[in-house]
Amino acid sequence: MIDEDENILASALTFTSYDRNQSGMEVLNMALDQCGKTSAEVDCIVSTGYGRRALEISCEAVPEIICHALGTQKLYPAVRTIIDIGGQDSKIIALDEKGMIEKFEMNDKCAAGTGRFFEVLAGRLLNVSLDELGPLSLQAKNPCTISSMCTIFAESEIISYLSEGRAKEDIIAGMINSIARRVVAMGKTGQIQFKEPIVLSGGVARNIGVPRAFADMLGKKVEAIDNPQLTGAMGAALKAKDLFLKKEGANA
Amino acid sequence: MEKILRELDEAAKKRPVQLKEAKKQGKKVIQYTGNFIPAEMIYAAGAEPYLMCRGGEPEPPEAVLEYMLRFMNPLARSMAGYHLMGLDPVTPISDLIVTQQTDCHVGRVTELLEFLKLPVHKVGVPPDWKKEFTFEYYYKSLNKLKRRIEELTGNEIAGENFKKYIGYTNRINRALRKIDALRKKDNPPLGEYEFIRLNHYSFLCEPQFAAEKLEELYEKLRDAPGKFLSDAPRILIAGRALAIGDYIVPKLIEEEYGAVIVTEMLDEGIRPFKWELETEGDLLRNYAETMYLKKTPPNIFQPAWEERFAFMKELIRDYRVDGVLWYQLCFDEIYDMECTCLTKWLGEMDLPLLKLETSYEYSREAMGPLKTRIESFLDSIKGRK
Repeated sequence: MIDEDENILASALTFTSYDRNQSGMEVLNMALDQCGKTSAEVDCIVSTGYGRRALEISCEAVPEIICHALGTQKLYPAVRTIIDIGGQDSKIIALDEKGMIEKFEMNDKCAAGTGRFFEVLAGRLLNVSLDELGPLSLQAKNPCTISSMCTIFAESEIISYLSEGRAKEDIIAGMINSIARRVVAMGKTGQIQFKEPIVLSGGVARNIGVPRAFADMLGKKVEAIDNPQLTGAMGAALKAKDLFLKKEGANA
Repeated sequence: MEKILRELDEAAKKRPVQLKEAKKQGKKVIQYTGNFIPAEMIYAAGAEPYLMCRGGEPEPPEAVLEYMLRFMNPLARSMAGYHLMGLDPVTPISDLIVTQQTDCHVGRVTELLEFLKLPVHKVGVPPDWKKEFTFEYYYKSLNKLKRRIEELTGNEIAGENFKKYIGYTNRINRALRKIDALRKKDNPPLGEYEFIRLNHYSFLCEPQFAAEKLEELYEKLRDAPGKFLSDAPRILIAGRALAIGDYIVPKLIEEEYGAVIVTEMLDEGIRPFKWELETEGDLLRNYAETMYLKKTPPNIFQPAWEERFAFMKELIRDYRVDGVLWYQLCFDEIYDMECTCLTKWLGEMDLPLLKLETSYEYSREAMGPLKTRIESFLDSIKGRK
């Protein structure tokens, strides 16, 4: 939630339930409580993400690729490449020098290469929380090689490494490299040139090992954005402001 | 327009029943798989042709997995899949199924049809199209087919009769050309969702009826107002085919997101309506020359990417295209390779391209990601305009 000067007033996160409208309302109420506002004081709401069309009070539904680009540009105005890895999919967005979307690539057919890969494998096999993954990966001495093609095959590989007595740190670093390898390959297939500055967003960017893996793989500087889970929401809020001002202008 | 589309749709739906009736009366039913097979010749022999190009549903490609690898494109797999599922009313009554041997996908499904003991006739279409002997091979294949049809029907394919049906095709193509030209307007009166169905109906319906309806439609549309917003993004769709029934993507683009597909570069499931067939001399040779040498080469022809890109550039210029949608069938590897070149060439022209890859799952699932892709692509084009 932002004001007319684009200052962040509140932000909230929740897991999406089967009733996506209700989840949207929940997160809105959480944000309203946080900043002490009422829904009547909200001038415009834009929804984004896979459930964007389910939110009934939304003034406009905007795809998350557009919102991620807008949100990231707000914080990094010169950004040319956005790598967004969320729980459900991963995307690479290339922007031109004017900030317009040049092209994008998206993986949505397989959990490998998404945050779900960590969710499925880290807790169940390694007994490690998502927050611990990044710091542990930085302690790796000899990262394992893990399949970048399939979460299920990766699971078998991890079990083999564990039975060989390999260190958790090396396995985690291997998992992170595997995600980075898959996402970079997806970008190359789409002829994305990974122009700098490169910014990492989405929940996976909270893992400090991930930007480093991308940087090593690309031989370029890769920065993780602050509050990476909110970038898309920030873009949606900026879009809402734009929409509101257009309406105001039309009514004036 | 809706009334005529409905009439054509009804006529197309009645066609399998008409074929059954025709068969009872002693006529032969011949299915064929694409534009390299002259349906006009089948009509001229007194038989009933029917285009086998149905797709867009995920179950039929799955139904052939008992016999075929998954790694064949879903349109090829659908050719046998509908039959195996008992959802194809025409294949069981077909006296002959003529398949154009353009690539390994059609080749393998042809073998499956043979394995299923269906009466199959193959027409060779060599990809090395710039050699004289390859054209002669294709022309000889057509002559062989002519003899097979004459033998099957007991009727000689006489010049005058063949010419009559070539005439209907030219009438259909002329009407489609005129309707197509309306899509060059700032705000076209029809989009791809209508235009591709007109093509499909023109294959499925009796040719004289199809020609008359298309001519009537043009008269109704020529001064009709546009049905889109005047600043709607103008899209070119390219790839192997929009099969009969595979309408999800054009419908989504035009009805949900307010963009318009103004032109297409598809190899199958659409008439090569921009080319007129010669009606004098050796009609079969004329047909072969038009399909093999004159019209835009299909992707499987080698080497043809440069000619195809030159044609695409003409379309981009003439129809004032804002973006290209590459609609690819899963596991269609040579289309995938062409897309790689196109991405580079279109990038140099600063024209955006969106690649969609389908195994026909869109009609049942995966709508969320599909919508995100399309909406983001169209939004980025709107931002550029």
